[in-house]
Amino acid sequence: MRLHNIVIKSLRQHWLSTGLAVFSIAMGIALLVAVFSLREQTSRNFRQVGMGVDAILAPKGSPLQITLVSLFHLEEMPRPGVISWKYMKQVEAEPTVVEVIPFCVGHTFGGFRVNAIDKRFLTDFEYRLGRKFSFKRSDGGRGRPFDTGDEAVAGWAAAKELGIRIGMSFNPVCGVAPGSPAHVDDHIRFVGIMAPTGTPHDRAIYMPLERFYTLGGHENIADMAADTEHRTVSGAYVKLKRILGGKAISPDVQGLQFAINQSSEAQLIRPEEVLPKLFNIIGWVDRVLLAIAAMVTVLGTVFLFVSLISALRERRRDIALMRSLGATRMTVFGLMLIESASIAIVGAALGCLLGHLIVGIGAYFIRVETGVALEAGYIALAEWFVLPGALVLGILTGILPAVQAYRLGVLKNLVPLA
Amino acid sequence: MIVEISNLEVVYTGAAGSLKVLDVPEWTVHRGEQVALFGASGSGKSTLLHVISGLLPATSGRVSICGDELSSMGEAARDHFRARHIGYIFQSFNLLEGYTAVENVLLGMAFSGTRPDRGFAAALLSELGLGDRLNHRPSQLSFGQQQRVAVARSLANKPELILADEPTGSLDPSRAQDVLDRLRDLCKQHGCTLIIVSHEAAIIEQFEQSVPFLELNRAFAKAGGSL
Repeated sequence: MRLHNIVIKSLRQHWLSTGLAVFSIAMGIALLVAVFSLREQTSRNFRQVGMGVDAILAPKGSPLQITLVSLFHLEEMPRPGVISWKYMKQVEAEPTVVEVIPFCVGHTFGGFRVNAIDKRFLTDFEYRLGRKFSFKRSDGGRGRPFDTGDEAVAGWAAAKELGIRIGMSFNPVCGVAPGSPAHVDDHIRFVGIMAPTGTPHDRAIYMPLERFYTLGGHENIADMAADTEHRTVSGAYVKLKRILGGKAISPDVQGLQFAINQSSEAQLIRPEEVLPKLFNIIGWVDRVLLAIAAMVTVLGTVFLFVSLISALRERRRDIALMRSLGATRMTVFGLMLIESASIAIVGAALGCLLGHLIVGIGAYFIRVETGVALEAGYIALAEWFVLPGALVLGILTGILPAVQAYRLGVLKNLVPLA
Repeated sequence: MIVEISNLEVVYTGAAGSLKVLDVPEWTVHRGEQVALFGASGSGKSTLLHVISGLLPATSGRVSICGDELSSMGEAARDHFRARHIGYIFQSFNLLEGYTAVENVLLGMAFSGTRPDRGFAAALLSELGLGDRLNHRPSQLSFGQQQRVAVARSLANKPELILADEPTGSLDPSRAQDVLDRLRDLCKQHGCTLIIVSHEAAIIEQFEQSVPFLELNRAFAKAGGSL
C-alpha cells in the first residue's frame, strides 16, 4: 500500500463529506470558469464585430443605440434617423475614407431585421480582418449574393431559424415592432444563404439598397430610387484609411470625425470607442456574477475545511495507528495536505468541465439572441490559473487540519474502538 | 544482542509533579529468542515496549535495538527505524476499519520505504489460516481472526523484532492459544525475535525465558508494586 492509496482509501471512506466538498468546490469553480470564459469571449467577439466596420456614418443620436442597430441588429434608429446621400458622398470623397457602404434599416421578416444595403457589403466587406462573406457550400453557405431586383440573402442563423430555402419568397414587414404591416405586394426571393460568420450578421436578412426605395407604401421616398440628389439612407459602414500594415486607423481620421460630428447632419461613430462603453454599462452584471462565483468558491473551501476537521476527529485512532506502524509526523501532515489538495483539484477539474457546459448552454442563448458565436471549449486566460489556484487553495485549507494531525499523540490516541 | 538496555529511566512529568515509571538498570535479549515479560497491570510492561519500539523516548539511559542506538535518535528517525525493524502487536488489534485484511497487512509495509508486496501479505494471511478472508473487513472477522491479521501485519516488513503487548488479552482461551501458537511459529519461521508482554500465567509458562517485570523494573519495585 502506497501513500496515494492511503489518501484514496481515506477519501472513499469519507465519501459523503468528500463528495460534498468536491461538489461545492466544483460549483464555485464552474461559475468562475463560466464567467471568465463568457466575459472574455463576449468582449473579444463584440470587439471583432467592430473590427469589420471602422466607423458608422449615422444621423445624430445615441452612438450606442446606433451601433446596436447597425452592427447588432437590435434596437431602433433614432428619429428621424436619416442622412442625405449627398452628404454621404461628400464623406466618401474624403482622403481618409477608403469605402462607404450605405444601408437602410426599418424592416423585418419573421422577427429578423431586413436591411437594405449596397451589394458591395456582400462582395467586398470584411466582417473580420481578411474574412469576407461566403456563399460556398464548403463554408456552409448556399446560392449567391443578390443582384439588383427582387432578391435577398439571409444570414446563416436567420435562415436556419426561419427554415429559409433558396427560391423562397417573403414580404418585408415595415417596422420592427410586432404587428407592423407587411409590404404584401413586394415579393422578395432568397437567392443566397450566407455561410456562418459567428457575428450578428448571421441574424439578418439583406436586400438591395435600391429595392428599399421601391417598396410599396413608401410613397414619400419612391422618387429616391432614381434621384440620388434627394435620396437618404439610415447610415453607412465606413472603411477608413489604415496605417502600420492595416493594424491602426490613420490619425488623420480624428479631424474628419471632429468635422462630421460638428456638422448638423451626421456623426461618425467608431465602434471601437462605443463598445467598451457598452461593456462598462453591463460590467456590473459581470462583476456581480464574479463576486457570486468567488463567494461560492470560498464557501466550498470552508466546507472542505470543515469536512477535513470533522474527518480528522473520526480518524485520530487511524492516524495514531499509522504512526505506530512507522509513519512520521511529516508523513501524516503530508497525507492530510494531499487529501485536501486532491479534493480541491478534483473539484476544480470537475468545475472546469461544468463551467464549459454552462458556457455551452449560455453560448446557445447568446447566439440565438445576438448572433455572436461563443465556444464552449474556449479557455479564458484566467482559467489557466484555476487548477494551480485550486491546488494552492487546497493546500492552504489543509494546513490547519494537517498541523492537527501532525500534533496528534500516538499513545494517547491508540485506544481500542468502543 | 537485539535488545540492549542499560540505566533506562522513563519519568512522566506533569502538573502534579514527576513520576518515574521505568527504571531498568540492565536488560538484554538475544537474537531469535522468545521472551515473555510478565507482571501485574500498571507495572510498566507496555511502557517498556513503547520505549523499545521508539514510540516513547527514554528520559535517560541507553536503548540499543538491532545494534542501533535508539536513545540517540530523534522522533522521525525512531519512526523510520520502527517501520523497518519492528513489528508491533496490540492487545486491541488496532486494525483499520475501512481496510480489508490484506490492506491492513499492506499498511504495515507502507511506511518502511519498501515496495508493498501484496503476494507476501496474502501469503502471511494464508499461513495464519486467513487465506479465504483476505478481502474481509475487520468487522466481518472474529476477534481471533482480527488478531491473526494483526500478527500478519506485524510481520509484513520482515522485522527483526516483534513486540506483542498482551496479544491474547482480548481472546478466549482456545483462540488465545491458537493465536499464540501461530505467532511463535511464524517468528521462528521468519527468524524474528519475540518479546511478549502478558499477565496471564497460562501464557507465560509456555516460554522458556520469562522475566518477572517486578525484578526488571526497579521503579515498580520501589513503588511497592503500584505505579
